[in-house]
Amino acid sequence: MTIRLFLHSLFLVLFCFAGTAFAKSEDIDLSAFAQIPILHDGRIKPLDTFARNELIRFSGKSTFEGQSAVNWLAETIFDPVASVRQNIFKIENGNVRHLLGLEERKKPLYAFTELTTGLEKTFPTVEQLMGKDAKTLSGEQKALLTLHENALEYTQLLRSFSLLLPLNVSIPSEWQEKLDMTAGEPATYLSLKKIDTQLEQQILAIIKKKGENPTRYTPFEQQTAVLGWQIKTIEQAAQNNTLFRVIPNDWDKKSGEWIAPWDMISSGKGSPRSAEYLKLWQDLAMAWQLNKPQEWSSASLELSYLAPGTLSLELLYNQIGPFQSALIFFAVSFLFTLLALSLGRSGWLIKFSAISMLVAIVLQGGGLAARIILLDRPPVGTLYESILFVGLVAPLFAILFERKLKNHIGLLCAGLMGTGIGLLGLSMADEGDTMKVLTAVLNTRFWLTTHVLCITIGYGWCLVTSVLAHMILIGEATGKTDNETLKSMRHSLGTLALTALLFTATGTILGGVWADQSWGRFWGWDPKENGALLITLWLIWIIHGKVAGQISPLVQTAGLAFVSVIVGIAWIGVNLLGVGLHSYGFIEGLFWGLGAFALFELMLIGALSFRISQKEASHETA
Amino acid sequence: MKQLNLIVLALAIVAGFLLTIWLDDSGPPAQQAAQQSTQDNRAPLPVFDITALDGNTYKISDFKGKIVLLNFWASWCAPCVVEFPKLVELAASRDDLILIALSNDIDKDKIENFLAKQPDAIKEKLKSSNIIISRDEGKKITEDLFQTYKLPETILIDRKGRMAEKIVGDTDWTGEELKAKLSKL
Repeated sequence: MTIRLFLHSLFLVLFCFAGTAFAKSEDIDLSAFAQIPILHDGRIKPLDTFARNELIRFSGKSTFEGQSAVNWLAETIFDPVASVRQNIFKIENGNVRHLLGLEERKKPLYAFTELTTGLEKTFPTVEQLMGKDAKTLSGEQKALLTLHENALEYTQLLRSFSLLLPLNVSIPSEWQEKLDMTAGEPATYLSLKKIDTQLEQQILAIIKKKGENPTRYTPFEQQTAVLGWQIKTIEQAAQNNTLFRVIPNDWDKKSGEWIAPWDMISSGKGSPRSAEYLKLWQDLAMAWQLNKPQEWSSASLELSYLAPGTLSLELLYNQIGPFQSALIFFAVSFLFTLLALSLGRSGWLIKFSAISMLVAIVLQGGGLAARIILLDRPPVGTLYESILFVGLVAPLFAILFERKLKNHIGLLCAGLMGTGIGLLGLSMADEGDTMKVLTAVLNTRFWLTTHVLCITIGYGWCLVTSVLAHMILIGEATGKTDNETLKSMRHSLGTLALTALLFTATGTILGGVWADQSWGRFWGWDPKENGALLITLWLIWIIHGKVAGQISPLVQTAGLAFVSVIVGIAWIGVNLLGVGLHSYGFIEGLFWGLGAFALFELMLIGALSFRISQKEASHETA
Repeated sequence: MKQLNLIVLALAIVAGFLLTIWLDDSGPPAQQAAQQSTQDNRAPLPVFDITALDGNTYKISDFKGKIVLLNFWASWCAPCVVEFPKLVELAASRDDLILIALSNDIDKDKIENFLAKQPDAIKEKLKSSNIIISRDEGKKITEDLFQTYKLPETILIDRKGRMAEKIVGDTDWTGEELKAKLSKL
């Protein structure tokens, strides 16, 4: 169904529910509601995760005006009339705002009711855009398309329970009798469904007798015709509404399918058990609308029993936000170590930094462990996940070297990498659900555990190598590091480079074996493959150059410092190209960030190397 | 340092062992497991009574030990009308099967008129004791209890009184596929 049809029917449907907009309760406990399971994007998740992802999709934030995402979700599904007036649609593109005729605001957030006219106006443009290749679309066109997609999803959400919410429709007394309704009792689509065949027959009889001009009908006939039209409109507006899959399919338990209420009705998947679940959802809706916290808690608790055990872990994961929390502790650790080193290694500062680092690593590791349990697969299936994983292993490796160096440089490196990688991860987490089901080619525990873990561990070692090389360059250029420490750091640098080479080379070869199994060839000069090879060749070049005496220690250190850029290109850069067989990893939007990072590194390493070579030249002259 | 290396090595071996167990997806043969789980997954039938057109009342639990076809239909529903004679023929041919044809018609007269229009052979078979024609007053069983809105729908109930499958739409009640299904009930 097109969005146009959705929009046309929206106001009628909302009008039908207009009498039901009650104030939401402050006393309603949402904890059990947040745990109710839903099948979304191929996996069972708690409503809390679903609500957060949907709200992030629309507004870019996981909370709404200080309220939790589940609170917003409850209002949206149980009180759609109030929900459409909430400013949840974030439209950052100024041209799109102009196209939709929206007023400029400090925060570009708009209510659905403000968008409908503009959405309808721009629909012909969107229809044309939908036929085009996404790569050829401008930023403005993509933003417009995304807004229409979001609006469509939102209307599905609004109508998730339109079959059981009380309707504000006028029912002639004759029909009330047939429905066995008492006066004042609210009707729902499901209750009216019992008379729809009779209603249809009656309307056909009226048309046959008096034609299609309603002015010739008696008041009862008019009311009957309007009622029939309202039922049909609600039904049509909810066609293909498969978003809110909260009811397990009793007839196909093996497939693990869950169904949305409207889909259950229209596809004949209802069962005695689904009737019980739907009754509980109706109780929830009524408890929300009539502000009855006790009834709400009882119904939401019963529905939350459907949740598998792991969902409470996901709720805890959502509440803690382990990676965001870890980022704070990594940053604290980095700042305290920097302060300690600047002030001459004050004992308590280092202790505080070490404790922060420990907490950060526990949080990062705990978050990854939770993801392994929830997704039942290794923790590195997507680019975002590889960032989380490297965000754990790189600081860990640096800590290992701290045990050897014992000069707090390892701790400083760990803090710096934890913070940098954490920020990168944070920038990618605002895209919505980070626990996506993998594409078929990636859905193998064996290769995710061997190849992907190996190559990402390799990235981690490379980053530690690069950061240590930076430290050496800074130490040499500023002259603030003594020769003994520099010697020890250089020795460690060689070991780190070899370890990085071992993991990246092994990972690259394992990737070739996987590619041979999946795509029938070991090597295809795919951008991702070339990226992995680039790191390996770069490391081989530096290590061999040093062993053969062809490059100076300075070039070796500068070359290893530059590994960060090579890793950046291989890890993230090739995904920006949007070509090759690794399509599941394609991303957009990091081009300028990566470019700025590469330029910064080039300038920093170049400047430091120039300063060191000048110092060396003056030393030789002296 | 040596001690640390030994600890790391021991941890790596334990991790490798656990990983091998995790990566090993082998289990009981898939088909056998699937069949077993299908049997276990059958939901129990809710308790309800049926009043036949002749006025006799039955409890659904009365039919335990027999296969039950609970057919939701209406005389105004074209696919229901098409499959009705086939269902009757199937039921008449098997002593171990009960057909409950639960009509969604508003008026009893409409059902009786529909039955009266059936060919004589079908009318004769309708006299079988294992065929029960009933009207679902107020759609209480069809919609409230079984959440059935897409007529015709038929629920296959096994001999233990559990719901095995729901067939949505009309189907070939005399075909081999269905015979195979019934044999598993």
